[in-house]
Amino acid sequence: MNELIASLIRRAYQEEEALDQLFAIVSDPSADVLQRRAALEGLRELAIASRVLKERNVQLITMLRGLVEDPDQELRETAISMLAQRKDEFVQRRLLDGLERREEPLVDDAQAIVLLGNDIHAGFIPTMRRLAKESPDQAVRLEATKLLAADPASADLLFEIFDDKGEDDEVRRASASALMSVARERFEPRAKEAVLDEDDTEQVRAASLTALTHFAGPEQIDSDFIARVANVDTDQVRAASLTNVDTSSSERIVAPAADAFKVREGDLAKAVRIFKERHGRS
Amino acid sequence: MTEETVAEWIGSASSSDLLSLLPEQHPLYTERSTSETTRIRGFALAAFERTGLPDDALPYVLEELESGRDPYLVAAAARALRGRRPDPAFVPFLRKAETNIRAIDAPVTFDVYKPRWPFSNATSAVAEIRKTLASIDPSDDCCTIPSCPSRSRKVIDPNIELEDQDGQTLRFADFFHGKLSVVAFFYTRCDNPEKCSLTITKLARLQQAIERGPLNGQVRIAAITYDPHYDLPHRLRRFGANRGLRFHEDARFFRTPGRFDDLRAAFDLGVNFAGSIVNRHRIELYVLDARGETVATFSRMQFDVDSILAELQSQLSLPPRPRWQPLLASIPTLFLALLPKCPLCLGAYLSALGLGSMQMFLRSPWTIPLTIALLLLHLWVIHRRTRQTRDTTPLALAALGTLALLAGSVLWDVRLAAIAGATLLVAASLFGSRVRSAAQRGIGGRALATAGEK
Repeated sequence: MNELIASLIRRAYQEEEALDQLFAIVSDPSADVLQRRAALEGLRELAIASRVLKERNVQLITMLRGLVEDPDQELRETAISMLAQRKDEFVQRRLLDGLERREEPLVDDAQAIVLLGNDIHAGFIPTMRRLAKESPDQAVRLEATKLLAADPASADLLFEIFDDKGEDDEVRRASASALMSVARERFEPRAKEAVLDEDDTEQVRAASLTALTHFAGPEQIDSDFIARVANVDTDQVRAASLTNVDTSSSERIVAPAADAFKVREGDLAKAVRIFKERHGRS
Repeated sequence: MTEETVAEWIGSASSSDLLSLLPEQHPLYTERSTSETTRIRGFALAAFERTGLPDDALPYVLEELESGRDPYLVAAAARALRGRRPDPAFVPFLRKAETNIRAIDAPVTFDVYKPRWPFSNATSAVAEIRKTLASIDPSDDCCTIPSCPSRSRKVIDPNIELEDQDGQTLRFADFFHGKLSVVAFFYTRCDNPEKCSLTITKLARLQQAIERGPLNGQVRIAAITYDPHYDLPHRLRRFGANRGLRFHEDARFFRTPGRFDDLRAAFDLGVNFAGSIVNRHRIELYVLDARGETVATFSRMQFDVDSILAELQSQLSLPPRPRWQPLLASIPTLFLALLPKCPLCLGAYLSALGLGSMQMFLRSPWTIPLTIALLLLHLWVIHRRTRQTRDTTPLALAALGTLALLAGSVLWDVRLAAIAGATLLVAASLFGSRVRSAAQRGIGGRALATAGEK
């Protein structure tokens, strides 16, 4: 960071004049872009800690909204992110309009979803439902599914995603986490089925078992289920170890496979180990 | 209906039309996002500057100033206040709004609905607050704006199913019947620190005050979530405990595992939803009697712990209120009204009783002074009631009746005037037997009480 900007930021904690200069630099499209970026980062920092800047929030928001369409992508993204964190209605509306293609998107769709996630009251649920179901982009479906964890009324859709074995594993894992948040009691029996389903993927089985380990009610973790998870252990750890050979890894070694290979602990194996530690039997 | 259509309608709406948009439970807000709801409410509030701000809209405006955290709504509320005569009583609300909003203020405009950036003629919440403050002359007659509970009774279905913070299910009556109780409404995802978080913090303070004093063991404390599908028992427990609530048998948080709408309708809760997400709610706390019926509602404005304690103490010092009590209250005045106060009346009573042979009794020398004395006694009783109810109709009827009776039977012998007088006296007694709270009939108080119910 250039010395001028660093000095202005230090002074701006107390001095209005230094703050004025930072505002002027960021808002000046003809100023050096590196200086503008540094000044904006400085304002981001000051916005958290400076009492002087808090008194001038209207000016800050006005400046940030002015940067939303700036030619410099970094400035644009910083400004949008700062506005989204402040739950700014104007930027929320632009992000949603971009996702719905009513306007040119400000940022890529997955990023827009993450930014909207700062505020559950932003009115994004219908859009997220559509994107989680229909978007061809895995990253978009993933982020949309994560946001549906805020909406108990989306439980049926989340079940649909979880049950779709053709869906990407990460998206299905996100749906498992979301279901544990919004429909725990309904999801627990389905999660148990998934853990024991040898046709399902290791990632989804591990996510389901992890969810059960940490959040399930005691009535769900009966002795029969504990015994069946113990059986999963033998087969899956071996399978996991064979697919996770990593001789250079210094990570934790899984005991059953350690005599043959140095392996990275597989997701499901790790989930089973933690489950057994938590529930005390094997 | 699109929000743009609503905004267009607001542009030409009267103050009473605008007022109808203010209750949170208005169907217009159902299934609209928080942002959309905020835009519509803000646009409607700001329009009161043009139409004039009626008394009944005042609580909504003051609520926004006292607890609002959205620059658009706070700016709109400050603007709405300029739709009525500037009053120094508003200054504390405007000052509180300025403190709340200063660090989170933003540029807003009311020139157009849902404006695109950049907009011309931008203003801000602080700018609107200061403009309204500048219009107030501090030397004006100042009145306080009372914050009093409203008294409407609501009967809650005793069979509504509840689940507490430990996952125990029970019926509404299992907890709320048998003792006086206080119940606040909230939800854990509320992002306004002046609303749900503060309400539960105050509830915890109320609990401490109750448990330290003479009310200990006589009052139950509860909070019920607006967001039952998300606010599962562990979330309820954590939210309450983090704000100082000590859970026990008589202090619990609830959600409705079944239909929330039944509870919502029974209390007529000031809340609305977009899907499962709360899009807007008011502050609301109820005092329920031992039958689980609401006896006092503190809503919209911030409540203080001392007011709730005073309410609970007053409730406990009252004997159980039988349903026939209001009827009983009218008996003494009715008795006075029906008491024969003139020769004509006495004659009528005596003949009705078959005692016509006692006509000579009517001409005795003490009949007229006794009649006048009884009439004056009747007037005095009604006057006393008028001081409590501030309704002068019974007193006016009684005065007219007295004059007509005296004129028709003592001064001149006009039978029709005497009968009219007696009728007016009976009517005055019946009117006078209505019991109404004087506290709810002041300008601010009436508005607060009625709007609290909406």
